[in-house]
This record gives sequence, structure tokens and C-alpha cells, in this order.
Amino acid sequence: MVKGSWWCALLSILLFVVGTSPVRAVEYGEMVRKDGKWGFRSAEDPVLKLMLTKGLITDERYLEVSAQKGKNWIEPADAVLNLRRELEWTRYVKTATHLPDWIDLGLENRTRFESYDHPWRSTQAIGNGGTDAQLLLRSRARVGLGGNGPFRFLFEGQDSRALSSDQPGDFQNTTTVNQFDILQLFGSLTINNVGGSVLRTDLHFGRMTMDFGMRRYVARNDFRNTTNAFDGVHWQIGEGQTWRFRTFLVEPVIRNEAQLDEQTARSVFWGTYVESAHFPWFNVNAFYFGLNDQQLNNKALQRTYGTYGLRLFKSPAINEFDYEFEGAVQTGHLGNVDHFAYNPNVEAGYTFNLPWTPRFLAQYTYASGTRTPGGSQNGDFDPLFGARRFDLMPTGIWGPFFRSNISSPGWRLILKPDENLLLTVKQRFWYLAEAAAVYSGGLVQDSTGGAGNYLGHDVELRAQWAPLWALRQNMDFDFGYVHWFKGSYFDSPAILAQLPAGGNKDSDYFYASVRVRL
Amino acid sequence: MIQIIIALCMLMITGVNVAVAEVITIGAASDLNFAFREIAMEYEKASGNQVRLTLGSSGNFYAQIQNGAPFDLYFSADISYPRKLEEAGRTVPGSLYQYAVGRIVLWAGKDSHLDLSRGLEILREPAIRKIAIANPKHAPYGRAAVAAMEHFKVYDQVKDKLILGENISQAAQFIESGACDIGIIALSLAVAPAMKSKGTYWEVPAETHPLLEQGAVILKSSKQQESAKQFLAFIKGERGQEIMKRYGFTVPSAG
Repeated sequence: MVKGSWWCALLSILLFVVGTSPVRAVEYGEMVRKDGKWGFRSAEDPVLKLMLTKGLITDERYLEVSAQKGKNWIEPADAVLNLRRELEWTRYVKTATHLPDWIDLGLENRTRFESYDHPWRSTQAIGNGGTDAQLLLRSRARVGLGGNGPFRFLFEGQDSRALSSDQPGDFQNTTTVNQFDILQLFGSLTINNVGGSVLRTDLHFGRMTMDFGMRRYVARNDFRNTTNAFDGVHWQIGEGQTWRFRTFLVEPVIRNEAQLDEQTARSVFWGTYVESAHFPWFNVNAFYFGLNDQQLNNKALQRTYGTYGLRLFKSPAINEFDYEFEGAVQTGHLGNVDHFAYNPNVEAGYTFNLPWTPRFLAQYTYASGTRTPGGSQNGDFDPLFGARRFDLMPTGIWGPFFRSNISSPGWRLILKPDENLLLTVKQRFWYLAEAAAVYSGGLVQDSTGGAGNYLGHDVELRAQWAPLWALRQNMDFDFGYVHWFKGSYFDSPAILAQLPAGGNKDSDYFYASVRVRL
Repeated sequence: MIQIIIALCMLMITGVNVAVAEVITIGAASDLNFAFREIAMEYEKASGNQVRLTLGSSGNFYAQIQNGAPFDLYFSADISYPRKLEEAGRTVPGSLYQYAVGRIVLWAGKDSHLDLSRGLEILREPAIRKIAIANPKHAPYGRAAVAAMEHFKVYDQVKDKLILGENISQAAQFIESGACDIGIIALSLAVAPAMKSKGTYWEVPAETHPLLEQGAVILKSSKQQESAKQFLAFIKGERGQEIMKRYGFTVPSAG
């Protein structure tokens, strides 16, 4: 994909945002009453409408594609593996090229500017608390064959790169850069009504991305610029939205910034995940993940873990309380040291029937750390292949806190002033679970524990905006700002000596991103 | 591929404005979803006027109109709603028109393997756990579905399995998406190109439920009454009638 084409497409859609004159085509929408006044709100996709007006597609095709939204979408082959929001958008290019329903073609680009000051990672050599500013680009292309099945094939390529990341001390690794690679490449078989029952089963074989539950331990990364992928087999069976059972055996893909990613037989990941939604007020997920990771030659870093977990939750609803508890216990070995770690996460919220539909959420996350560094037991919880952005903080080139050796209470307020706008205010306090263990967000440690465990607190503001209701799935903006009031831990001489100059000063982080999907 | 994207961009960028004579806003029952999309497009081509189409449940539109919603035309799946508006003096005198009679069908997805030829009796099957219908409180098609189930004496046995859609389109979506196993929807939706290939249906005999007489009115509050009359005339005309018939509606004979 030529970069110019992306910008051309983006510019075109932006023209819509800033307003185009009406074109002659039936307009579909709904009558809504706001502040006592009635108004017609269009529910149409302006790009499809323009294609129709320009004769690029027929009336019939327009109606067909318009109907392929929401519950009428043509399910991609990875729909049971990943969150629907990752896959569902109106396929403009496919529509314009008159491809049949059994072919899926999708293009996506996300461009994000990120900047933060006063780096704190011991690996960064930016002096005097300089600033790291980068432009991160993530482009994806997917080609699927087979429509709604039963046999389907999917290829998804991803190119993740960072511009202006070549200054000394700029943050760059395989979480930000992974150029021209295969994200998914698999064949799948779907059988509905297994043996005349109401069950559905799917088998996937090849390279795939996966989301499990809340995505704390296995995720198809959304905010991060690169994405976890796995080579192997995944099987699921379930009954609609009521319950499902998933199991998989894979080799995690090892990302390489410039060369083709590969997997190794020395690293194997497997697991089972059971979901029950029999009671809306008491959803249950139970899971086991096994990891045997011998890929590193340093035997002390080889991991053999079993992770056992349970998640109980009720989804938010207006005028109702909601809650989530997710806990995981990890046992096994790190090198030849025993490993025992745990990670409880608790959330309780309430959604008010008020303007902007405020939802207030109290949150607490604990991830154990090693009590006696160098001792006979490792206690640092390993977050496996999970995501952090949804409950901890933005990642990208930021991400100072991992789900490991951390204790963090906090609160979050989510507001919806408009159908197209979501605002979030968050504050979390950060402590090391074990003062003597490594602070993994900065790779620093005071093994005496003398530095204490207070890492500070952060305040985050976020705005997620889709400028046109009908384009919500095809174009959106995301803006965020975080101020991290660094705690006393960073002022202690033992830690200060390990930080880049100015690393103990408060840090500000800002990002602005636009995502376009065609 | 790149050329196509660039072409798309250029098309978007060089969009030519087309003058619109008038805009009429229509509130139409969900069973008209596909038929009216086609009719509105044809009307626009023929008249140069623009149509704003809102689809939903007849009962909700009736309530909205009573609360001052600025529709020019109201197409209801139950003629009693426009009649009430006429009695209340909210319509253009003489504009009430019975434009069609609707039919209901038992509908299931292509993969369901259910033998629909057994009719509504099949709803008793234990394998069927969720049945979609439109909410009878404000959707005429929902009331017709309940009446038909009562006629076949299955209603009491299956009422706990019912999942109520906000309107008949939503009920259809419930089945299509797999959230429900089967449902009773409008024939006009089942025969639409967008759904035809996705499922099979069994026509519920018309005598098993009250006649779904569908009526339209022009609202007195409309500022585009001439264009609204024009649209109504288009529905009554040969092309409008042909489209309605194709979507399974029984239309009143001309004259």
C-alpha cells in the first residue's frame, strides 16, 4: 500500500467531516428529540451514499451493503477468535470493486502522534529529562475467502513502524515496530447445529490473533502498535451467546522489527477457556493457560508456568451497579526457581440515568512481586500476552506500569455527551507490591527495599470521537493526556542513580490518533 | 487496487452538488424496510424531491406524531393508528389511504434444519429455545404473531421463549444473527433480496390472525403537503404497486 493512497483516502473522508452539500439519494435515519426539539438524524453511511450517487454502485448493491451492518454483517473467519469491534466496519474498497460476498477485503490505517517528557526507563539515555516524540503508523490489510463458511481462509498483513524514533534514547522495540509481516494466515472450518443440536463449533489452523475474556492475559493488542500472534490450532464449541468452550495449542510468534516474524518449537502456549452467560448478573469465565517457554538461551529466564483463573462480572447498564472480579494464580518455574504469583483485579461501577450517562468505576489491581529477590521463589506475576490499556494506562511509547509487582487502587469516570463521543477521566495510585523487587516499568530495583514502594499517581483524560454517527466503525479519533506525579520511590538515591537525568520528575504524555478503515 | 482507492478518493473530492427541490420526511413501519427503500429511490428519480425515511414500529411513530414529531407522511402497519390521527384532526382531510395488507411468516435461518412445513406446531420443539417476534405492545406484526400462535394453541407453551424486538426488522435481525432460533416476521422482509438467500419461511395462513390492514396519512403539520401527495400518488401508481406486490403485499385494486 502506497502511503500517499492512505492519505488520499483520509483526506477524502475528512472532506465529509467538514461538510459536503447534500446529494440526491434517499436518506435513512431516525427522528430524535433533544432539548424538546425534534430533529431528523441520518443513520446513513455518507461514503456508500456518494458511491451510489456517482454511479459506482447500483441501488441494489447499496441496499445490500447497507444491510450488512450491525447484526447483518458477513462474519469474517476470525470472528470467534477476536473482539468484534476489531473486525466490523463497512468494506468500502470491497464494495467499490464489486467483489462478491464470499470475499472479504479490508484495509486499515492508524496514525498516532505520541510525546512524553522526563523518561524514566533505565534503558533510555535522554539527558536532562528530554522529550521523546514519535509518529506511530499501523497499517493492516485483510483478505478473506469463504463468506459465512463452512470453509474459510484468512490472510491479514500488518505493517507497524515509528517515525522520528531514531534519536538516542527514543523508545523503540518490537512493541512499536514490526515492519511488513503476516499477522494472520489460517484456514478454518465452521459447523452450525452440530449433530442437529443448537451448538456451533469452529476449528482454526494456522497463524492467528486471539482475544480471551477481558484480554488481561491473552489479547489481540488494540492500542499497542504491534500485535501478538500465534501459530497453531484453536477449537471452540458453544451455544449462541449463552456459553462456549475454547481450547488451543500454539507457538507464540516472535516478532522481529525488520525481518519476517517466526515461531519456535522451544516456546509452546496452550489453554482452555470456558464462558457462561446463563445469568446476566453473574457471568462466569474460567480458564487455564500453560506456557513452556525455553526460547532464551539464558536458562534463568526460561519459563514454565500454569495460570489458573476465574472471572465473574455483570455488564454495565443504566441505573444499575456493575462489577468485575478477575483473579489468576500462577505456579511453575522460572529457570530452576519455583514460581508462585497471583493477580486479583476488582472493579465496581454504577451508571447514572443523568445527562451524558455518567458511569463511575472504582478499580483495584494487584499483581504480586518477588518478596526476597535472589531467594528460592520468584513471585513476579507474568502477564503472559495480555493488554493493559483498558484498565491501567495507555501503552504505545508510554506504558510505565505492567501487571507485575504492582498494587494500584483508582477510580474512573466515563461520560457519553453524544452518540459519537466518549470521555474518560481516570486516576490511579501506583505502588510496588514488593519494594525490594524490580519495578518492571523502568527496569530499576532497590533490592534492599529502602526506596519504598510509592511510584506516584497519574491522572488521565481521554476523548474518543467518531465525527459522523454513520462512519463510526470506519473512522475515529482518539486523544489522550496523562500526567504522572512521580512518587518518592524515584527520589531515593539508589533508584535515582539508575534513571536517566531528570527521570524522577513528573512526566506528561500526550497522544492523538486517527484510524481509517476502508 | 491503489488506482481504485485513488479513484474513490477523487470521486469523493470532486463530488458534484445536486439541487434538491424539496425534502419529505416519512415515518414508515419496519415491514416496509426493503420495499420503501426501492420505492423512495424510484420516487426521487422521478420527482427530483428528496426522501428522508425513518423506519420503526407503527405504535412508536403514532406516539411521536402525537408529541409533535415533524413527519410529512406516516405509513403504519395498522390502519387504526392513522384513523385515530384523522379523528384527532391531525391529518390532511381525505388523505387516509389503505395502501396494503401485510402477511406474516415463520422464518428460520438457512442452517437451522427445522422443518418449517410443520407450521407453528414446530415452536413446541425443545430444541427451539428462543423465538423472535415484534413487541405486540406497539408493533402490529407482533400482535398478529401472538394471535396466530393463540390460534394454533401454542402460545401458552412458548410464551416464555419469546424474545421481543423493538420492531419487526429487529425481530428479523435477532433470527438472522443467531440470537434466536426462529421467529415470526413480515413476509415483505422474508422475500427481500437481502434476506431471501439467508433463510426459509412458511406463510402463516391469513385467517389465523387479524387482517394487517396498513394505512397511510399526510399530516396536517407538514410543510411539504404537495410533495407528500405526490409520493402517495406514486405509491398508488403502477410502479409503486408493482414494487409492493413484489415484496409480498396485497395491494388495493385500482379503483
